[in-house]
Amino acid sequence: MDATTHAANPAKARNLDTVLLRKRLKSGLAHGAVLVLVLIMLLPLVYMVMMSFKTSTEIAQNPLGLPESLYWGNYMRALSEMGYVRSVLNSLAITVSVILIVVLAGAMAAYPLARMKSRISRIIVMIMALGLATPNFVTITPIYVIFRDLGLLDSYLGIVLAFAALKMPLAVFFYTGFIAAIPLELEEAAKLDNCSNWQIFWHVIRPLLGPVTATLSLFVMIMVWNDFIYPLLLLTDKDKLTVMIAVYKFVGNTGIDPTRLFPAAVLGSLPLLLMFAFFQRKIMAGSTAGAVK
Amino acid sequence: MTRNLLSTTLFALLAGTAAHAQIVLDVVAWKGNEAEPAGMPQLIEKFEAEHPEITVDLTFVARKDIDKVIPPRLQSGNPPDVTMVDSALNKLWGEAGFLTDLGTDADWVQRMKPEVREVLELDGAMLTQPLEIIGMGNFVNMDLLAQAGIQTPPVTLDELTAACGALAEQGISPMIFSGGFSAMLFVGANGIDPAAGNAAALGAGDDRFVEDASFNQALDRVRALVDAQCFDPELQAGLDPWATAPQEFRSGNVAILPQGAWNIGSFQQVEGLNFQFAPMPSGFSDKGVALDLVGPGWAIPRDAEHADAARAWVDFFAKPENLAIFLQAENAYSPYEGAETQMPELAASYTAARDAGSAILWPFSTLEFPKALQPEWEDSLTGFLLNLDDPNEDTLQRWDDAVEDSL
Repeated sequence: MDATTHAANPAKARNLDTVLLRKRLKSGLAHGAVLVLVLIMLLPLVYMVMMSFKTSTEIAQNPLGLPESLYWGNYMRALSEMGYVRSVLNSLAITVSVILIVVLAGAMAAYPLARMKSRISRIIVMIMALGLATPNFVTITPIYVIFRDLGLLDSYLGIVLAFAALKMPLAVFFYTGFIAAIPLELEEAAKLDNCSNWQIFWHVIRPLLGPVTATLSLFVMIMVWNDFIYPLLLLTDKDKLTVMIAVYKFVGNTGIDPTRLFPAAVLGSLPLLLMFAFFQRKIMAGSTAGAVK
Repeated sequence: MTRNLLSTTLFALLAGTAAHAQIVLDVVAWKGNEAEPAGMPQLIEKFEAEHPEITVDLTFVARKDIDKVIPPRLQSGNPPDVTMVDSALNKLWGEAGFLTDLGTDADWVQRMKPEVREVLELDGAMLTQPLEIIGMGNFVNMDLLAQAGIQTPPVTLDELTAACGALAEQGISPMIFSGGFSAMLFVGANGIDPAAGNAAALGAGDDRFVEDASFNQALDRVRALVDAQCFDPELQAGLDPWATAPQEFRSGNVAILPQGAWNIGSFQQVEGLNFQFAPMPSGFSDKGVALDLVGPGWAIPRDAEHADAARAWVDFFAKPENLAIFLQAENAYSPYEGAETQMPELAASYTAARDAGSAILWPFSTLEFPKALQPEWEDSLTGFLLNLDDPNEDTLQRWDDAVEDSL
C-alpha cells in the first residue's frame, strides 16, 4: 500500500526519504560523538596498559609511543612482589560480603522509611543522607576506637562491618527513593491476600528492586575495591591485605616508576573489570525478570 | 608423682615458649616499599640478625596518607612500635604528647648537626631520630649541554642564562620550570640569603615578603630566565613537577630539571642518561646554593607495645655503618657531624657548594615557614608565570597574607 501511495505521490516519497536520511545522519553524528567521548575516556586506560608493557628505556625514549614488543617482565615482577592471588581473594571476599550486607540491610531499612509518612522517618532519612556527606577523616578515629574495643581489629569481620556501615547511608538513600515510587496498589493487593509486612517486602517489593540493586552494587563494589585507607588502618596481618594495598606499595612519595606501578595497577583493577562485566549482565537480567512478575 | 611430673613438664614448656616468644616490631614508614626501598630490606635483615628475638613487620604508608592512618592509632593507644615522622609530624604529634622522649644524652643526639637538632628538639625533649638531609637542586643532562658547547653544569645566574641561550640556539629545550615545585626551588634559592638567614623572620611575620629586597629580586630573576629563553612560562606554568617533569628529563627532552636528589636512583637506571646533580644558581653565591631538606626520622609512640625493641631499632640506626646503607640508597647526606658522605660523584658540585657553606635548610622542612605558605607559594608562582607583567607585590602579598593567617 505504501509503495502504491509513494508511486502515486513522488513528492511525498522524496520528503519521507529526506526525513529518513536526516534521522540517520543525526543518529550517525550522535553515535560518532559518543564514540569520540568513549575513546577520550579510555585514553588514560589505554596509556596505562601500553606503558605496563614497556621497558624503562623504552618509556624514557618514547613515552607516548606504542611498545615495540609486549614486555611481560614488568608483570612477572609485579606478580611476584604483590602476593596477587591471596590479595585478590581477600578483596573479592570483602567486597562481595559488603555488597550482600549493604543490599539486604539497606533495602530492609529503606522500606519502612519510604512507606511511613511520619516526621521521624523523614528525620531518619535526613540523618542517613548526612552520613553520605560525612568526610572520611571524621569517622576514621571513632571507627578505629570502637573496633579496638570490640576486638574487631585485624579481622575480616571488622573490615566488612566497617565498609558495610560506611556504605549503608548510600544504600538507604538509593532504596528509599526507589521504593517510594513503587505504586501502593501492589502492596494493597498483597494485603488482601493476608500477606504480612515481611512477606510483602520479600515477595512484592524485593523483586522490583533489581535495577537499583544493580546500580548500588556496582557503586559499592567500586568504592570498596578501590579503598585502601580502611584496610591499611584496620588490617595488619599481611595475609589479610587487599589487592589495592598490594598496588599501593608501588606508589612513590615523590614520583612514580611506570614499569612497576602500571602493571600492578592493571592487575589490581582487572578482577574489578571482570566482576563489573559479569555482575552487570547477571543483575540486569535478574532485574528484568523481577520487574515483569 | 605423675601429676607433679606433668605439672613440671607443662611449666617448663610454657616457660620455654615465653622465653622464646618472638617479638614482632610494628614499624610504619613511607619508605621501604617497592617504589622507594631506601635500603630497608638489607637493613631489616641486618637488624634481625643482630636481634634474633625480634621480627620486623614494616608497613608502608605514603607520606600523604600517614596523617589519616596513624592518628587514630595514636589516639586509641594502639600505635605502631616505631613510626616515621618528619619535622611537621614531630611537632604536631610531639606537642600532643603522642611521642616518647628519646632523651638528649644518647651519643647520636650529641652528634646531631646543631641546625637539625634545633628543628627537632621540642621543649628540651628529643622525640625524633633524624635519618637524612636530602638535597634539592638542578639535574643537568650533560650530553645536551655538550651539544651546546658547555662542559660543566651552570651554578651561577650568568652561566644559567648563557646555557639557556646556547641550548635554545641548538633547538634544545633548556629548562623545566613548572609553576609549583620547580619555581619554588629557584625563587627560594634566590630569595633566602644563606648568610643573612632571612627566612625565620619572614615566616614569623616579623618581616614582610613584599618589602624583602631578595624575594623581589628573585621574581625579577625569573623574568630574566624567560628573557634568556630558558623556558616558555605559559607552557610550563601548569606542568606536573612530580610526574611529567622527571619523565621529560628521563626522555632527554630537556636539559635542566629542578628537582630533589631522591630522583638520582631512578635517573641512574635510565640507560644512556648522562647527568649531574648541581646546586641551584643564585645571586647569593658563585657556587650555587644547595637547598637541603631535613628528611624523615624515627619516633617511638608513647603507647608503643614493644618499647624496648623499638629502642633497639633506633639504636641500630644510630650506628653510622647502618645509617650509611640508608643514606647510600637515598642519595642523601647524614644529619650527624663527622659522617662520611655517601653521595655519588655526579653530585660533586652540589656537595662542593654545601662544603663551602653555600647552603640553606629548606624553610618548609625546618618549619620556619608555616605549612599553609607552601600551597600559597605554589599557586601564586603559577599565577606569576602566567602574568609576568604584574607587579611583584601581587605575588608577595599573598605570601604575607598566608603567614598572617597562620599566626
